[in-house]
Amino acid sequence: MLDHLRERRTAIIVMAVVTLLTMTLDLRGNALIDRARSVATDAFAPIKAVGDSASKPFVNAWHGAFTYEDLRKENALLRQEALGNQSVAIEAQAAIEEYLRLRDQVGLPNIGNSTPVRADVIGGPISNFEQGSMEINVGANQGVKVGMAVVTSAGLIGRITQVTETRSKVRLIWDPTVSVSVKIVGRRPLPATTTTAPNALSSVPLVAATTTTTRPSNTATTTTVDAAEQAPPTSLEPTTTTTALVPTRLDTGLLRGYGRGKPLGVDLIDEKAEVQVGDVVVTSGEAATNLPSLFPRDLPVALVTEVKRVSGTTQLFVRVEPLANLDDVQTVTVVLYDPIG
Amino acid sequence: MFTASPWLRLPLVLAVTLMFQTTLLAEVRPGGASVDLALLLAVCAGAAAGPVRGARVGLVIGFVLDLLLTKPIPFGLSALVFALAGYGVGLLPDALYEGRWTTRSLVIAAASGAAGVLYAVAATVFGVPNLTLTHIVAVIVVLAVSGFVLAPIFLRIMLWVLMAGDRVRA
Repeated sequence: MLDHLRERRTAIIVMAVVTLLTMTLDLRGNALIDRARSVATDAFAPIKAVGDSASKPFVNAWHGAFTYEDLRKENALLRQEALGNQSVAIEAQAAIEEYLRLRDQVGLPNIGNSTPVRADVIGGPISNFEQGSMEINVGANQGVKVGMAVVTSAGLIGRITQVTETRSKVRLIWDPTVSVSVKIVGRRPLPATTTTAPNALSSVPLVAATTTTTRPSNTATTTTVDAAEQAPPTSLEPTTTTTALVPTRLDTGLLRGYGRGKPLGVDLIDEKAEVQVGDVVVTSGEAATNLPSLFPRDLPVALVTEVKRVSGTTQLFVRVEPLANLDDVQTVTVVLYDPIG
Repeated sequence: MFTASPWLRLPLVLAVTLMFQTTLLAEVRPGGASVDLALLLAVCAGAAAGPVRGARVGLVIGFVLDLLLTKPIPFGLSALVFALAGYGVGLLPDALYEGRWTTRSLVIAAASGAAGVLYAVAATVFGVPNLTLTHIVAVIVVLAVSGFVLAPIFLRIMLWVLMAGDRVRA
């Protein structure tokens, strides 16, 4: 009887020690464990593919039963938005072309040089305690590397954390273990310039501008115009005061997630930075470590939704809302940006 | 062939279990929590074969599941929890498993819920993020309910795997 109890106790102690040892090794970073996980994921892929086929009708039935009405409403809303977005898309395309042309002129590298790889989301978290991750169907064979950015058409959604030959795991940006170096950009007025007609508009920057024109009759009008669309100067007489709204880098910081459904935050923003609600958060292309970042600069990430000054600190409290819908991602793009490679 | 050794039957059952867990059950998530069939296998292993074999089987199932998970869940966390779950359930008196099926199911349901609590505690200790109280409660409820419903099937499966149908707990 005593031997029996001793055997039980010894068995469970040995098992506990073995598991604690492997956890310690993994937490400290162990290439052998990483390789084993990678091989196991690839080896299990065919079984998972069979399971996907077999379970698809049941999964569809589940979603049909519990999310059909939400999907129908969302579909109607998206149709309306799509109609409205057509004109915005045309304007955006023109802006992108202008932006790329300007970047080329000043010799900056841009994301256009990196090859995007489209991928389908083929799985969510397996365990109840493995939140904030998803699996996509591209891997090392397509050039994907750990650390690369994953985006949708709306913006950044996550970072590659594990790569096998044919698959990769992505951690979403709301996960607290993901941090991204970002910059906050807002449109701010340039110092006002006062010129005299007839060549006043030659000094207008190639961005939206607010122009206040004072006529001799003392009537004033304020209009927002796009410089690219601006007509040649007319015969407006005497004085034109121009206040241009140009994209301004306000500060750089570190984007952090606080868990599913919670707003993201940007840390390390100086209290003197003039950040406002509605400013845009984009990737800075800089790395927190000595290694170069695999995130190209200027990927759109989020919009600033809350700015607070907190007494006792020298930083602003900045909350942001991701541009992409992180709860319903079906197709993504991996940005194959590698400044070294 | 499969009567030769439990260690030949277990991989077959485990492969099928993980196939459903990584596909169907990864999508069907009532309240944001999914049914954990691997954990249920470990719990039922303890109920079917006693603490030592239950712990061994739980350890193996946990390590296999850990291979399919990613950081920040450390490799070995599921193995530790599943081994302890199999061991703990195996220590319960035989009388609990010899009554009506509802009693057996209730025991497995309670054990599954308790294993969920253990997993949450261990995950928190080892720095796994995103664990909110609401989510943990949802997980425990789903594990307990699924444990109650699936216990009769999974107990039979584990009896076949480990004892070739006859229950001899050790």
